Amino acid sequence: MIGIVTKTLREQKLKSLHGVVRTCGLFCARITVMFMAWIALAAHVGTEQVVLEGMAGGYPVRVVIRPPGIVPAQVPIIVRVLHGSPTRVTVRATQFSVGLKGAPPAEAASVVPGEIGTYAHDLWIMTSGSYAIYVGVEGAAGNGTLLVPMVSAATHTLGMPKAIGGVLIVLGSLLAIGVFTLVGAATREATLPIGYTPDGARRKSARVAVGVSTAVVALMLLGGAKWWQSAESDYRRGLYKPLEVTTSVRMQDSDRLLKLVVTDPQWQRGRTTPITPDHGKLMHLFLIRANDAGVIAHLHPLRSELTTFETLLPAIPAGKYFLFADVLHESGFQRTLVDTVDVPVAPAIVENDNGSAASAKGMAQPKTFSAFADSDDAWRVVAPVAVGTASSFDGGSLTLSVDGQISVDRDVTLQVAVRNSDGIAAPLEPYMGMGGHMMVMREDGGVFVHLHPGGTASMTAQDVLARRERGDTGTSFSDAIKNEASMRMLATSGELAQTKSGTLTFPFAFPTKGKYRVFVQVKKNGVVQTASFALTVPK
Amino acid sequence: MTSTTLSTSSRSDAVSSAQSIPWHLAAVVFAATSVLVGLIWDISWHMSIGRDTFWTPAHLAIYTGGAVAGLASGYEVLRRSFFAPNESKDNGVTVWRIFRGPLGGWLCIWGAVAMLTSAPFDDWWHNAYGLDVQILSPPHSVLAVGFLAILMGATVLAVARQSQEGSTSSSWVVAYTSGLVLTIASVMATEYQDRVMMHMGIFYEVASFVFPLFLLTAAGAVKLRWPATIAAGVYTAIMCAQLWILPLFEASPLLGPIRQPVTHMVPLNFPLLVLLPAFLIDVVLHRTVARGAWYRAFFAGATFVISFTVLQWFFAYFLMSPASDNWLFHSRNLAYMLPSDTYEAKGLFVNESVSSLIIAFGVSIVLATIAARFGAARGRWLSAVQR
Repeated sequence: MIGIVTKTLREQKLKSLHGVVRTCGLFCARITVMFMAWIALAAHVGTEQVVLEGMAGGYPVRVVIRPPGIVPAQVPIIVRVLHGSPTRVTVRATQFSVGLKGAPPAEAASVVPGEIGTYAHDLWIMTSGSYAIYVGVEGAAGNGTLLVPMVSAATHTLGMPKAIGGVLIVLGSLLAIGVFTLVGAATREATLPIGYTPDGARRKSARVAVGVSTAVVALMLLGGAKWWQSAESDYRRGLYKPLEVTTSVRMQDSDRLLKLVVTDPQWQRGRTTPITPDHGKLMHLFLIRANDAGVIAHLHPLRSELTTFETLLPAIPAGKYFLFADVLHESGFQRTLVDTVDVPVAPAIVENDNGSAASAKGMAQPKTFSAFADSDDAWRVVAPVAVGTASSFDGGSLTLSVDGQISVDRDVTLQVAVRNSDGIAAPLEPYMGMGGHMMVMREDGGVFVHLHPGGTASMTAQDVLARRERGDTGTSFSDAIKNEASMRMLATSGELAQTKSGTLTFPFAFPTKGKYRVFVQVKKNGVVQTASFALTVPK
Repeated sequence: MTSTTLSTSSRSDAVSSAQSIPWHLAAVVFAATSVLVGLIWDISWHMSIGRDTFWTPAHLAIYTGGAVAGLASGYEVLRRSFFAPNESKDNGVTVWRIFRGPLGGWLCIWGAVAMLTSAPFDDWWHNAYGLDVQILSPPHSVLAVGFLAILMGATVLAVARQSQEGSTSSSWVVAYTSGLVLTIASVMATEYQDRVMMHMGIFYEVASFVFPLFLLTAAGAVKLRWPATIAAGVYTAIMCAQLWILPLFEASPLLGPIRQPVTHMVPLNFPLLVLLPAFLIDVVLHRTVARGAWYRAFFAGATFVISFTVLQWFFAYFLMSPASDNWLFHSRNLAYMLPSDTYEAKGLFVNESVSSLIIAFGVSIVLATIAARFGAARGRWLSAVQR
């Protein structure tokens, strides 16, 4: 009997220990996911900054928007006029739900002293959601407006600086002491006729009153603290949270099937606006190997159910991967889903180091993948090179350079030059409607941005917001795919010229210091080429 | 509460009373008015224009009120403490055994410090949680307590003057400042006073606490025949003035999203119909002089609740109708950010079940009785203030 009890206790202890270990493991995994989730902001990951170039009338401009992650708040808008001297630059914020009809008037931006051609103005943004910032430029070259999509989201709260905390403690203590003192003085002397001095009874009453008032003030402070906590909790509940997703990879015959399920109640209950294709795809999913960023896959899963997206994996090595999945809502709200996923070893696959479904041509891909993969899927095992160094690929090379000193929040131009093996500039073909795609990731996965030659804002979002203003909201889903796929994206003649000359420029601002990996994808001779560059952003 | 101790107190000096209103009282009454005007103006500003800076006229009115009240009172305290050797040492309340000044002055100083405290608190709050779109928040409540302290300070200064001098003019000053306090209390409860709530229990519960509390305080403090009526009259006059003056000025929203067309300053609501209930409170108090405090409080409170409910419930129908959409009543005073699908924008009452309303009516009578009892006690104490 004793032996049975002892065994049972031991089993319970073992179970308990297993439980603790399992719980710790789950906890660690959850912490990792929570960290990833926390850093995922609305449109991108780790930054809400928007950098977009375009034409406003006769003036090429670069617009930089730096949302502070607090709503409502003033959002700095910086307009750099790249060529020409306008007479007036204005900015105007319109929320998606009300459009220009419900927008306050345009406000004039001021010239930034010491920065030629740069104008700045802070716009009040009062609500969360999808916004269009209209940048108006007037001058001899022609008046015009550039629409810049922006996502407004509260992402964090501020701690209280010590200095302000100290001032408030001093003033608050003074107020509390003032209450006790005044209650005592009032009880002791207020009703005493002038010329009389208070007796012992009055003094005693005053002491009692001070005691009572102390209790009342303590209760009020307690109530105030609860109120404050409640306001803090309300605000935190309203913070933008990345949608919860669950990702898994399972074997399906000789293929690895990646399944991403959006488990977030907001999505499942239909509380988010529907998603719409961006560059002709409902989802742009990026897998980047977590330990060294030495592998990247740019895939386009299909939606099998309302909440489920699936894709077969190409011949990428096994390992732990960061997963970033870009989707665009019909409101123009860009969103990046974030997760990590373990990719298992694929049986009987000879891993090649440069893949593209479009160019697979019988290379060692699983048969099913070759048959069903999206023609724009692309992946590569690629070692990074330094900025300014050519990254070679079969039949040519790609070089990345920067037009100035890189530092945190400083907008720069990342220049890409593609050449053939003979060193001559290589004309590029549109890749999903764009001259090229760039993925910028901080090596710890804390920052991820998918951008294009125009900048970090989605051109589809730009289009959605412009159509919304025209009242054109009747475009069907299939139309959206068709339109996107029809390469409407090569919007500016400037970009078209760039692709012909094998050069591309990407305006961007690194949001934090750290080690970054910049991946560039271009299409040349029908093959998507991927290059990787390593750079460090100083403080 | 300690009136029986007078016989054991020693008279040290005699003080002559001046016949005119002293500059300090005049300054503080001006400050209290400025604070209240600034507050109403500021709320209207946020309903009409939205964006503000430190230097808006509304803010300047509030700061002027705080600064004048605090500085005038601070000067008076320093004068009495150190620079008035010929005045009695026992003509104010003593703080920390060094400083001597009128209780109302001390309240004003405290109120100014509270306003000062709320500034960095509110600024940090905006940075941390965004620009607030609500009247009541922790930093705003600190500011509101500061406002109340200044307005109460003005009242206490006035009642001290009334006690010392006993003139009708000083009583009118007390009545006026009591009306200011009543008005600011009502403005603080604005979120529960919209016309869409006028058929809800919470509307009557809040009103039945706020108004009897301050009307009975006025009734006790003011040595005039119709004190509650006069205080309610001040409230009604101020609210009507803002209702008729603010819309004369053009204004358009500078923040978005703009969901309601706004071309002029949007005023606060038409005043609640408390004039007649206040008059009835005065009548009840006149006729129950010989009765106990709780008896009087119950009858005053119940009279208020019944008369106010009957008046406001049916007047609400008018306020909801297009007939009230004119310069006199301004019932379409919708803030620019108000969504079109709200009860306010649609002009619909939020309705409750009859049983809920009956319960709320009972709760209102209880609240009004408690508020009236507490207000009467405060008023009696105020009327005894000498310093």
